[in-house]
Amino acid sequence: MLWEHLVSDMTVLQEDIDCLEALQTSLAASDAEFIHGAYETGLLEFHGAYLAQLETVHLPQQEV
Amino acid sequence: MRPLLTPAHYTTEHWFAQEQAAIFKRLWILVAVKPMLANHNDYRSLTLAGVPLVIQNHQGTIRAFSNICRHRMARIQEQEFGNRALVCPYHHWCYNEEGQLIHTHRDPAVFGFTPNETAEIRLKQYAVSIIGSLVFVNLSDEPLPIAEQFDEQTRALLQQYTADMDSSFIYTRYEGQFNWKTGMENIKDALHVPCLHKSTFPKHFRVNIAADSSINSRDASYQPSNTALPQATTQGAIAMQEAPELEWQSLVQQLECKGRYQTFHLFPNVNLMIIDGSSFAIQVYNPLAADRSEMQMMVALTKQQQDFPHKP
Repeated sequence: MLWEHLVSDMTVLQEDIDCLEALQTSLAASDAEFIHGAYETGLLEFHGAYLAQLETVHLPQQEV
Repeated sequence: MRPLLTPAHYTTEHWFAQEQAAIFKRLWILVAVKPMLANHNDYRSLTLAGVPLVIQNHQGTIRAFSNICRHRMARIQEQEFGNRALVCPYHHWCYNEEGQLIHTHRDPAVFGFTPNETAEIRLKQYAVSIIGSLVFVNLSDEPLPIAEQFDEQTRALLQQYTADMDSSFIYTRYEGQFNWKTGMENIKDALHVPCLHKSTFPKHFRVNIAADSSINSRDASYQPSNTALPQATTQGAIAMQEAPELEWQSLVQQLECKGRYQTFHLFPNVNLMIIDGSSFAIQVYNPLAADRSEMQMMVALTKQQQDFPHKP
């Protein structure tokens, strides 16, 4: 039953991974801004928390 | 709404190095669940933020050490999971439960260390914190209290729900060419499900997006105001619609969240799902490079209350 559970999850995950790998290629080729809709506040909150953590450490030789 | 990140945050080595230092070498990161380390000398090895680690059970106490022998820097535990003492396979340097070298070879004279010199040689140890069945490691020399990362309510719920994880589990991992953040964002994004997973996502897990009160609740100028670390972890519960009654569910412990799809997005990189109060699915997105991540996946049931019938 655990195996059935995993196989079921992996079918969906494989679709996600295929999409994310294609997305990564597009991200590397893009310098445009993302466009977020009203439903995506959860993403912005994740990004806000991520950026707040990055500010806790400053590495030398920063180059953006 | 204005974006906070740019494509460069997902693709450049600069941002990867920054987040390795500020997040993965500084915060509490999930590295195991207790069923993986149930017995004396059970271990899990992994690389976290470039640091090879071994998480090992010694007489019921779980500790984390560098998985690199102090002698010639060989890997001490070579498999991802196993059961053996902390003995380097290269020259049999042997470390005790505190990571201290206890002997170097069958003939101690070969190395010529005094007992005092031997006692000073030890593996670097890292802080471990356990909530329920979840084992977290912190790579910092001065780890922040875990209560500063996960608030009291989150810790109490994780304790309550995951303490009853069964000893049987299935684990797999996949290395993909994508940034770890897109994996976590994808989990937080219910909108993609009816599009990308139109024919594969189980019907009883689907979110009624139109009924979600958070939609249309923000205007275009919205910016997150509270970026405090505990608020970065979120949880949610969705009532399962037309959930199938599965025969085995009567044989395992039923958690209070039965009938729901309970989720915890543990900042930074964990998606913990508890399905119908009787099974767990845990996804961990471990960054390997700006454009490469390892997705670890584990499924387990709640504790068995009766033996499962043998199938012919």
